[in-house]
Amino acid sequence: MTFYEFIRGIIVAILTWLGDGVTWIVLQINWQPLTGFAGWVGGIIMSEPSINLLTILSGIITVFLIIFINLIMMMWFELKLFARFYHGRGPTEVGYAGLLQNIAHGIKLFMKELIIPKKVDKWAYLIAPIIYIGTSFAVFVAIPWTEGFYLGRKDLAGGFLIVFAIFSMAPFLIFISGWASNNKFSLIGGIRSATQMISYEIPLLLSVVGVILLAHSLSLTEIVGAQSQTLGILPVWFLLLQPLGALLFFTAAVAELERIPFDLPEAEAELVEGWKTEYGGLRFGLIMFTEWARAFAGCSLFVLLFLGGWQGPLMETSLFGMDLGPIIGLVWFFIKVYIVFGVMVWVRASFPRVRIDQLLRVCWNTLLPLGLINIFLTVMVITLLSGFGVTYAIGFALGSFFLMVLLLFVRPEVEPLPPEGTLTSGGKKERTPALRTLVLKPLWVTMKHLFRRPATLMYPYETLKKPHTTAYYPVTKKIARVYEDGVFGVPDIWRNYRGAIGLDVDACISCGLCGRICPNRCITYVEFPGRDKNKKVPRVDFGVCMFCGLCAEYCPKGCIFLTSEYDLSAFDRNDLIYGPEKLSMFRGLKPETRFPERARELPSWEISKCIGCQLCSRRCPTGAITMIDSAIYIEKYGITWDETKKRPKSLPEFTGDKCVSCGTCAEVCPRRVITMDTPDSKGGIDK
Amino acid sequence: MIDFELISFIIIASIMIISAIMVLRSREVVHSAMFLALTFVMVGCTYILLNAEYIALVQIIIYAGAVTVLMLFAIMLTKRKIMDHHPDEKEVNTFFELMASCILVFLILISILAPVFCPETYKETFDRELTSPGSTSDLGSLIVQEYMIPFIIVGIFLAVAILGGVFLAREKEED
Repeated sequence: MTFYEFIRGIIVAILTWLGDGVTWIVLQINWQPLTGFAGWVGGIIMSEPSINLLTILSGIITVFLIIFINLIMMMWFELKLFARFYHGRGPTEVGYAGLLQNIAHGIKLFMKELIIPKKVDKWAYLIAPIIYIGTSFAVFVAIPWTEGFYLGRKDLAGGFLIVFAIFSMAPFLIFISGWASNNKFSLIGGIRSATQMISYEIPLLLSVVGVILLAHSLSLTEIVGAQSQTLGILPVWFLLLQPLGALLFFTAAVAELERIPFDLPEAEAELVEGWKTEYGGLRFGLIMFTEWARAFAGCSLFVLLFLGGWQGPLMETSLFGMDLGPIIGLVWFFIKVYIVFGVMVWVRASFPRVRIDQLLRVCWNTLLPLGLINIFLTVMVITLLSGFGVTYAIGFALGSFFLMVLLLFVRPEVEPLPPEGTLTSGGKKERTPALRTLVLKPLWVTMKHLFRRPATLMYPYETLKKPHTTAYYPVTKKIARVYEDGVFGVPDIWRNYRGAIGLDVDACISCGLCGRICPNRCITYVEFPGRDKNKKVPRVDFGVCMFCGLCAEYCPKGCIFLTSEYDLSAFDRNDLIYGPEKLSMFRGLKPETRFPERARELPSWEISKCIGCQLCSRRCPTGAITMIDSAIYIEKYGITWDETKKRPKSLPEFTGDKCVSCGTCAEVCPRRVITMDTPDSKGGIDK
Repeated sequence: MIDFELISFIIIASIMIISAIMVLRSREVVHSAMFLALTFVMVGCTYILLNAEYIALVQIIIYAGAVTVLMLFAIMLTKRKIMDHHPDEKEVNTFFELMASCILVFLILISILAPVFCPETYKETFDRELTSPGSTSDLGSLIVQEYMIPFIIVGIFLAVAILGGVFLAREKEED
């Protein structure tokens, strides 16, 4: 059963069912004009042309939907695989493993305004990409995906040529839209594209001639059928019979699809976006989408021509008498397409973009002669094997020899034209690219990198911390995977890193030194349950904090410390303000070593100014200041008090060994009696 | 019963004729090239209606895909600026226009009416029966069996033309 018959069966069934319903209703009404009209309409709808039209339309819509979903999958596949070649992870956030990323892109492009620049040739500017997109999707009419997958009633006899004819329309349209954009970048991109595509069409066609000769047909279905033989378990695909042709086809197809390394028409470093520069919004999105559609078509063509199409094991399966062959064929086809596409991504990850002269030289000097040689070899082998007679074989041999000589004669000198002043190694000829260093080595290097562990850290969920345990992550309320030390080649990163600060609330004496020393004023103080109202504890705004670590260096009790935790990303800025509870969660990360003791400042008194307000004594967090009776004080320290001033009841006495140099006393003193003195001063009464 | 083939032929032919007229009428040379491409594609479609699938596809590949691009290159290489309009270009002389049209109409009439007036000459062409009309394999066997000598001669001519082109395009070596 072909795809056409399948769709047609469904359509006929639906129409019959609807028709029965309508007939029943009409008969119930039983009104003569209505019956006549309904019979007339029904006759038209149920006629052969109308059913054919409906079938073809529904087939196209079905295939288009499949292509649409598949293209989104292919884009995702490319993003993921390409990221893995560079130790990345690709999209992860939107949908499962970032599957819906491209849909998000699409929605974003959909929201954008469609701008038509003022000085474009409006008519050509609008119509050229439409035809480009339309023709590119029309390619799928001729590409069979599985057994009996024809959109029409029968197989297209010239399947390959139809694909090719439709493909060949693209350079003209790209050229036109590049010109119509009225922008030099677009024009250069369009010209490059046209040059490239027109040049590479020739090796593309030549490389397939061998396959067509072997299969005796232009129809893609028959080409696939010709690859059904097996040699033991090994299937004889045309990849084995035509390795050179397959290589040429792949190279030419990559160039034809304008993918890296042949994406000169949209060389973003030089040409902004090439011929697409002036297109925005959904137009741009559709053009990009079409590029992937073309890539899909190219990969399918490679699979059909060289990889045996939909053929694979388990093709003869049937379930409850139903032949499952076509469905399994579909699965094989898509697996193969994705493998070929993966190789394309691999190539994309391996090579830098080539220059335009290199590109054209590769085409005309390498691919074209190789393609011709491939054809001659194929023809010779076929004639020799199929017993056309020795005369024919000799004729072909002579002819091919003659043409190869001709080719060598025609082949122009491989001499680039270096502009004056450029580097040429002592006037020598440019060396031909070495296969090993320029092609195989990059491929090998990228392949090695594919199997490495991704270096990207999933920021809120993973950390790069020393203790390789799981840890509760306070911001996102998730269990964070903690990586082992040294995995990423930076073993001591956590040790030398000044990360977020943590707090040991129990040890805090509420001296307020951290808040005073903080250069960014990110530390404020809040009350803490179970503590005295005046004994406030620090709260840190990590949105402001620059991780300088001064607070930890100055903290007299070592209750503020630096942790290796530095990934504090949150979805809300308020989440970045860490109260004492959150800060205490870092207690497990408290390092064993502390900062060395700092040279300390100590308070000194100008006692004659003192009014005896007792603030310093009350606010001192360590009790280093006590108030004693002024008479005793004066006697003890031998001060001469100016008797014109009123003598306060008590005066502050300082015990140096308890002091933590927090400076609270100096701050609270209303008369500036106390000042914090230089480091290493002894402190005490200023005489 | 509606003749779909006739309807499609009428549509295709009218698009072809209108675009062919537009090739001449467009003020912008690039628009002319676009209409020319459309004309070529429609000629290809006409071939499909005539069951000549291979010729149709080759027509689209070569004419619509390649020849028009060559024309565009020629236009781009000769024009000084993109979108450079010349509103005061001289119109073509009406007399020559009429003369050219008359000659064209005359030639077309000859080619249409010749089989009608002297059918004996064309009898063989119309009566030839192919196994499957327009099929690619038939075309191939015709070329390499019946018309082998002309095919080879054409090939040699093309090879010579390519050699000449390469010779002309080659940069002169400095002595």
